[in-house]
Amino acid sequence: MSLGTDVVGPSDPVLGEPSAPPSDAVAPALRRRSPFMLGLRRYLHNWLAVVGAIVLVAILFTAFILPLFVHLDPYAVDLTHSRHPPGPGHLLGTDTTGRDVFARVVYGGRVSMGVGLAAAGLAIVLGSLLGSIAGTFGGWLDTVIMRAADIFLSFPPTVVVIVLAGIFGPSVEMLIIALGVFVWPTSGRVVRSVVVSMREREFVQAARAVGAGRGWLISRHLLPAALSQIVVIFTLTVANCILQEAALSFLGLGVQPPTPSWGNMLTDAQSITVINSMPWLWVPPGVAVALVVLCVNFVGDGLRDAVDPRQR
Amino acid sequence: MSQPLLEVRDLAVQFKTLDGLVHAVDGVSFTVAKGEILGVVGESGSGKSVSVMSMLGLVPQPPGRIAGGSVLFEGTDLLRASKRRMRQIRGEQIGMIFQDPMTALNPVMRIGKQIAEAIRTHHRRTSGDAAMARAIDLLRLVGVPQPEARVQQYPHQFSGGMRQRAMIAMAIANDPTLLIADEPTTALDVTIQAQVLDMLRRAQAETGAATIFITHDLGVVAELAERVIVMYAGRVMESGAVRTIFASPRHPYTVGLLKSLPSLKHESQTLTPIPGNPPNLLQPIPGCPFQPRCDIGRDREICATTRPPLAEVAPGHTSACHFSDELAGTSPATTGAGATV
Repeated sequence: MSLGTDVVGPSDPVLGEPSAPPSDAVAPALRRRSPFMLGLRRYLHNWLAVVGAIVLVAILFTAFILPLFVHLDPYAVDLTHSRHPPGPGHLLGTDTTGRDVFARVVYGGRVSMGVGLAAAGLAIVLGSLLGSIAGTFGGWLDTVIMRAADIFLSFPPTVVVIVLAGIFGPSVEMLIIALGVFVWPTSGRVVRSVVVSMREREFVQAARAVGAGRGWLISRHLLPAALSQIVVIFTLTVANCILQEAALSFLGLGVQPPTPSWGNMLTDAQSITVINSMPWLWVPPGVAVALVVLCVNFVGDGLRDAVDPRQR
Repeated sequence: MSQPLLEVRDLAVQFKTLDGLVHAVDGVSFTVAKGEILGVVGESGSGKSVSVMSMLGLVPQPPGRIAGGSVLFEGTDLLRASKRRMRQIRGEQIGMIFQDPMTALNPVMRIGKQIAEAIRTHHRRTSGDAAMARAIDLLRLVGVPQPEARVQQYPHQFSGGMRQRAMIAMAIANDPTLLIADEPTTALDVTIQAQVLDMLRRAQAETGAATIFITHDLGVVAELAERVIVMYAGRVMESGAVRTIFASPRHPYTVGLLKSLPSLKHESQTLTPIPGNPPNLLQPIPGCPFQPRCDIGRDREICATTRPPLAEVAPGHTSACHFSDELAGTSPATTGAGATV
């Protein structure tokens, strides 16, 4: 049999190849099948995830974009208008020192969500890096990294932050670093397990056979394989970090007043009288935390199903 | 004869398992000359793949361990070369084609990108566009229709034969001087096998690369290779020119293999299987590993106790049998093609 275009020609029935569509006709068919579009379609089928995403975008818009156009001052003290109930002028009332609660919720959202995103980002970067190194290299490096992960997981982060706050003084930066450093093992373990399962696959061997080094393998073959899982863990970690921030700030160990955060705004709700008679002081930040965490989790679930339909 | 391209000497590879040490490759020696096609035949577990994988440093260690020997490739001992040097050799000087193109291609990476990556691993300064253009050329060379559109596709959109062509394109992307094909047609339909073999021969002619062709298909060896080595239980049993081996084998294992092939000439002849099973490689074998199954050596003391050396029985023809002389002149009445070990 002679080989060349005659054998594999357009009308070759043996190979079952598509019969000679012009190359520009092939392109749209390919675009329709792209994994991203498939994932997007699966995501849009999950209405909870869609609603979660919409609400989340609305909240992010309110926190980060709205103050650019509307004048809101979370620090303006007005002792003559302290603890006013919601009404005109103060959409959500005022707090003990007469500051506008709506402005503080908006700016508190910046801080709370900012801390959550930054801490989760730090955790994911650490986790991906250490997890892929542990998984790729194996041996003693793997042991050291993964036992370190176990050690980090066995400390309650709240306690650690309390200690760190005592040593360095509470601050936003300290909070981000402490949270990031203590939640990386979750992503690190997942990345490692994906990398280990991929490492012995034949296409990784094939990539090594064409001369790929370890860094190349990680960046081209191993981490991309874990990317979908990383995205999902990232969203869930964001939710977790926002909750942690709220809890720590509530205890007075996180974001320090007068900088507003949803957590330290809730500190006001510690007194029975406030809880009973002044719900505008604690309901808005409480609802904000709950809503954001709920939405982020819905989005995370939606993403997980979208990127890996088998995991349902 | 000039300096061989590849010279494997006494290569030994062991695997540590829970049951003990497996002697997967036990003192294998062979050479490959520039531009020649060497067939390596043997049944599953005879150490064919492990020998070449260990040459490329692709045997995971542990559990694997290269227990001895040397592999000289263009003056470099591959078993002792630095990691950096090995990375350079893999892909650039030695290309590898894997058995199953479905698992050997990354399922979530476009074909073109995978071939382009193989180029860019070695030529970091090559732009992505240039590498992609080369990938398209390579796919055209190996007979993939509409390569411009095909590079944008994923492996699952390729048929088995097309995937194996893409694998070949990837292996020859950097013009290697040695091509290793590890059972490249085993996972394919018979009709596609012939095409891929033809393609491989063309790719080999195009690049002038010497080729080690691992297979358990004696027909494929007869068709493609110039020389052949026959492996059994991690050792080389016999080696020589394909014609010689098929016409006058000088090792009882090779004779057995050829007798178990169906013949196109003698229609109603029953096939003669080799009795017994391959030895357990957990135990070291002091004598000839084929002795318990061998008509010649079964009752002979020396075969069970003394390892037969791989000795030259004719120019360019070696056999690891104490009694290879007894086989001289006999020829099994078969030249069947298409049968497997």
